[in-house]
Amino acid sequence: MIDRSLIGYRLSPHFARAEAGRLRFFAKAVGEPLPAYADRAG
Amino acid sequence: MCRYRTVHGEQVFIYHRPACAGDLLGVASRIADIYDKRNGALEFMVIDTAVSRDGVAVAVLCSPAFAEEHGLNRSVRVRAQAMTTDRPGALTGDDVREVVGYSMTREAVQQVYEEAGISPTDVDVVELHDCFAQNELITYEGLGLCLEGGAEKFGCDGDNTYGGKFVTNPPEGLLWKGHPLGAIGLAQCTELVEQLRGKAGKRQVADARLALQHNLSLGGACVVTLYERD
Repeated sequence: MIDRSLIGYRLSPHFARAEAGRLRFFAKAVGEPLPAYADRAG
Repeated sequence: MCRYRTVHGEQVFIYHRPACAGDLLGVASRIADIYDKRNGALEFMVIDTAVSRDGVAVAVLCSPAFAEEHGLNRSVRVRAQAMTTDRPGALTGDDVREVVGYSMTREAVQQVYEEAGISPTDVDVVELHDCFAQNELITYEGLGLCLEGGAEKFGCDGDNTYGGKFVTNPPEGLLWKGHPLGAIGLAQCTELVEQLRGKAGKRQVADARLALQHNLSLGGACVVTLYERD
């Protein structure tokens, strides 16, 4: 049994950068045609 | 919890605002619920994750002519402003107050008081950079709102809030703002301008005429600005 007293427990917060290369890769993977999602300058 | 007996279940996403490439996202998770089915044959753990990013703050800097032409409210002006930096050795000396900018605060505010020809007691409302709880106390002294060593009494006597000598941080300072780094200065400026315009709602400091802003970056830059209502 998972200890029920863990309800409400907060995991350590962290920060992550929304990285352009990963977003571009995702846009490519889902076949997104709009250039705004792959624009290197933007 | 054995990770080899764990499967990833369903997910729900609620989108409040877009996040853009390059944004720094804060990720905070908590275990919202734990329950089981079939007498514990299956156990479920629900994890809520809140992803947040800094908000956006904008100020329009314009000439008096532009403000005139566009009918912008000019009832509040900058009476005096000073910027200072840490003294050499501030970060390596024995006085820990120096690490959080005590002297640069003091030097900046003295320049502002001199330039404006006022004394601290003339100020009605203050926004000060309480990036840590103790900074608020140190900065009461740094800004001359009380004597050196008098911050504890100043707070206990209620001289830092409504009904006291000054109202400091009407919207509860950086804790309330979430310490939004670069946006702090603009948020402080906005609050003080609204106070001087009498538009601060339930936070309004009665008849506020002079407002003091203290914005700090540790190690180090300090900007103190005095705003005045016409």
